[in-house]
Amino acid sequence: MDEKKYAKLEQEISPKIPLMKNILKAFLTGGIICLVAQFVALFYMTYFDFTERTASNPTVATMIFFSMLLTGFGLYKKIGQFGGAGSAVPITGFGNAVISAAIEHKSEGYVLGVGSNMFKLAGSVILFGVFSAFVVALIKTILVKLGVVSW
Amino acid sequence: MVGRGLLTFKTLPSISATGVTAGPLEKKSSFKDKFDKVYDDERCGLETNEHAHAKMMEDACMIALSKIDSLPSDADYLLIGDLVNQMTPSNFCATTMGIPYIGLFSACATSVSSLILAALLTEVGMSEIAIAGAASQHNAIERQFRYPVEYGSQKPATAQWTVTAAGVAAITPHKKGFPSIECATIGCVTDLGMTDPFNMGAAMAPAAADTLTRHLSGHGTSVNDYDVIMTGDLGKTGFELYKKLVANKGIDDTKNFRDAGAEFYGKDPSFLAGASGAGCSAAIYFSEIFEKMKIGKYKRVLLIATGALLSPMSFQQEDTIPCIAHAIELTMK
Amino acid sequence: MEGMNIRKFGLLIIIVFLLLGCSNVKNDIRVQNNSSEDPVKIKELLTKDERIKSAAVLFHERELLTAVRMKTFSRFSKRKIGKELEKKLKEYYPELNVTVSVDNKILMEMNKLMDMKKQEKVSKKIKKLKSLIKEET
Repeated sequence: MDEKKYAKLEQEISPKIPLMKNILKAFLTGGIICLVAQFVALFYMTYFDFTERTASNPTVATMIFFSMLLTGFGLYKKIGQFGGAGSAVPITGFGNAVISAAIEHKSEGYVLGVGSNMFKLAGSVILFGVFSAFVVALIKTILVKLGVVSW
Repeated sequence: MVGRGLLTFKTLPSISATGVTAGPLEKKSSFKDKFDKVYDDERCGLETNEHAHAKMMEDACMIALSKIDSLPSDADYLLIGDLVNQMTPSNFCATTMGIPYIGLFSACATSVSSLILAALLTEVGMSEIAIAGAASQHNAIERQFRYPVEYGSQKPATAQWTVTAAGVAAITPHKKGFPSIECATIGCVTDLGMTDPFNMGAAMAPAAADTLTRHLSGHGTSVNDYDVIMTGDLGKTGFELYKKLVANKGIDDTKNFRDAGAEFYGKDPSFLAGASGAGCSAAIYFSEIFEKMKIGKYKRVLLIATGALLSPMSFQQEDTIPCIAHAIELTMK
Repeated sequence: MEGMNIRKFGLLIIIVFLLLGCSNVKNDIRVQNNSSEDPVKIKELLTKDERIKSAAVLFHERELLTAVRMKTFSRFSKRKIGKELEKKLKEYYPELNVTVSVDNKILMEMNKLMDMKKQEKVSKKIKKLKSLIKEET
């Protein structure tokens, strides 16, 4: 049996990824996470002097804190298995990536273990996030200078 | 000499005793009552997962030795392996045991490859007691091959769960009333271009099919000569593929085929396609199969352990997954 | 077991939200006038604007403070709408200090401010609100 024939057989036998079901689950999970965050933001706006604009920072910090608790108690991986992208895309997923790596590498010490491995997964998110922000800003600057759009 | 990679043991070395230890999650296994020791803590109360990994192996060795009233100082060889980088858990286990040691790596096929080497040493009369076996510890293996344990990624239904288990066997010269090693086949590395580390069963199935046909034709037997032909950790998907591949080679009768990985956790869907890891095949072979042979339920079995010989780096460099399968035939007379 | 619980929880959330719905309150525009200016023009402007859901307007001495809340889909361009409003209001009331905010927090605080009995604290509160609007992060 050659590679192509086997790849075809493998495709036939391996269970299909239930795309629609996964999308729906991701939508629900992501939606619920954002809903919780909305309530957190509302809390900060109601009880503290934060506006809609400034409440986002403490909200993000709080959501990461929640994600830390869930990761530590071993619940986030279950949410992740259920929700897929729905739990990976919000800031809680970023928090989970950082925190799970930190927990994992604690056995090698704080400097060489936690310190150097914490951003093992999330590091590329930061790098390419910054890079794409730079590219987008560059494009917009050029467009503004050319007079196509305004700020 | 029968042929390339084919071994026959004229003195029929015996498996005199086995020791199987498993982690807390393995209480969900269909075979939990057959394990000698099940820990309540996945780290066995130790600092790191790797220490727990070594501890599991030590305990398994001690259990096996105690069953034949021996001490580590009585054993001649220790042939064990695991999946952690440079096999440190096996190395630490060997330090504590103080038995002459060779570390073996055939990924998840180590259970059978170590058994073959132990049988060879016994066959040539160089060993009275040789310990062979393999182990894996979920957390220690996952962190090496995949993501951190607590990272919330979605695994597809073809993914397998690395077991926390260690299984070792004590091989002695032929002893009546114990399963003996009749012949074996050393596998060739097979690679049909699979690259998905979340579908290792599919990568390993061709290796298992290849070794099976080589063993059958090399030793002149057919599938119906065996009470059971058990593969190591193909998992549910890989097992189906393996049956299809075998059928392509003209073997349609698959009723006595079993797969340790697919059966390990029963039908629990949270383990997806089933179990994997070096400890998976070792734990089942040296508990379920060994016991059933000892009571005479199985007279002749063929064990084919499969291993995916990948590293996280080879996978990231987009290499395919080379796979191996070793077969060993046990008889009970 | 776990999947079941999550399923039930998800269903509950959906039902709750379907029942609550997006309550379509009619233009709720509240104006408080502590000055001699004519509030009719602003009221008209805000009522006519289809995109606005609710608003609070406060005339106090030389200050005109306006907070508006957009309808759901206009919220995406609320800053733009806010600027547009501010420009118009500056035309209508050239001698006043016009401030327009599209932030919910400001609307909330404005409503509190307008409910306040003690009028002497209002100036101070307005100053605080204006500094809050300016805050960027």
